[in-house]
Amino acid sequence: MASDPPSSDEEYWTEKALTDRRTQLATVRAAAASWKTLFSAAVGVFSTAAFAGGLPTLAKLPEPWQVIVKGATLIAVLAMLSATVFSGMASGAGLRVSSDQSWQGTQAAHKRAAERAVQRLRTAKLCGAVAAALVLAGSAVIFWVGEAAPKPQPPTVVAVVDGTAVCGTLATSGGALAAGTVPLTKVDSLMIVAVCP
Amino acid sequence: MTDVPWPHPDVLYEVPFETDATTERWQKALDAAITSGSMRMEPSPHHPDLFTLAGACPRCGHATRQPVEFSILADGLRPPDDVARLNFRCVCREGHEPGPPHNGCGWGGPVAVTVRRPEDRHGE
Repeated sequence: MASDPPSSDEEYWTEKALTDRRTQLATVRAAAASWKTLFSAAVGVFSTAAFAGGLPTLAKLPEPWQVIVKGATLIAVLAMLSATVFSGMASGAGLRVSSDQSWQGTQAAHKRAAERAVQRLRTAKLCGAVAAALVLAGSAVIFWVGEAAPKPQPPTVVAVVDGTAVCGTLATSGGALAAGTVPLTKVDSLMIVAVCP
Repeated sequence: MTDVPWPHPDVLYEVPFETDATTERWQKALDAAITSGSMRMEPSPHHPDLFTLAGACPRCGHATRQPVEFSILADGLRPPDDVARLNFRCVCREGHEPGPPHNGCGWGGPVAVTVRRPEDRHGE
């Protein structure tokens, strides 16, 4: 039976296992900090896309898509804000007060803090996923639904009626055409213009 | 003295190689010790995942103890809650022969074993 000293692998991984146990809180906080950075970057990308022309199209969407996408955008902003706040809290933006200075109490406090951080990080990831899904879905709507077709506008006309020139938007009045409110009866001439002179 | 039935206080100091046979032997000895009550999982009053595996070494019978932790958080992953895998080593203070002074009878050295969380102590 062997009685040799432990191998270098055994020593290294034994130390690693011990370190993992002792640095749980730092591990979780480091992961949370990485996610916080990711959420911030995602917000930056979203803002860039908005300034590049994504959001102005929102106002031109047809109903009911406009209301739906605006609502989704608001929820996405709140979800992304929540993701950033929760990941910030998970990464260590919190302090505790304790009079327990025993190693047992400190060990337990670290473990509890790590567990809380994991819960907050999970919440942050969920919020981030919701925000990402909404942003992607909203973008898809904007791309595929596109702008509402502009409503056809009646032309503006200048007409000579009974020797008098009248100008107005072409309309119907009492079953007959009209330039503004003037019925177009006995029209000598009629011309479409951009605006009334 | 190597082949005497366990536990025996006069066993020689020896560190086992990690093999299927030594792992099975150490696991069975530990399970038997826990079942008989000669070793027990002492819960920490501070946290439900923290224990001390304490009692008589399954090999030499001398008092030994080792911390056991469940649900260790590593890289955001949680292992199964109710089973802890560890290198449980005898650290008795009886100075087993031969060799220089050392703690423990040498087992289980690099051999990894598992212990279950006591039924009445589940994590929060």
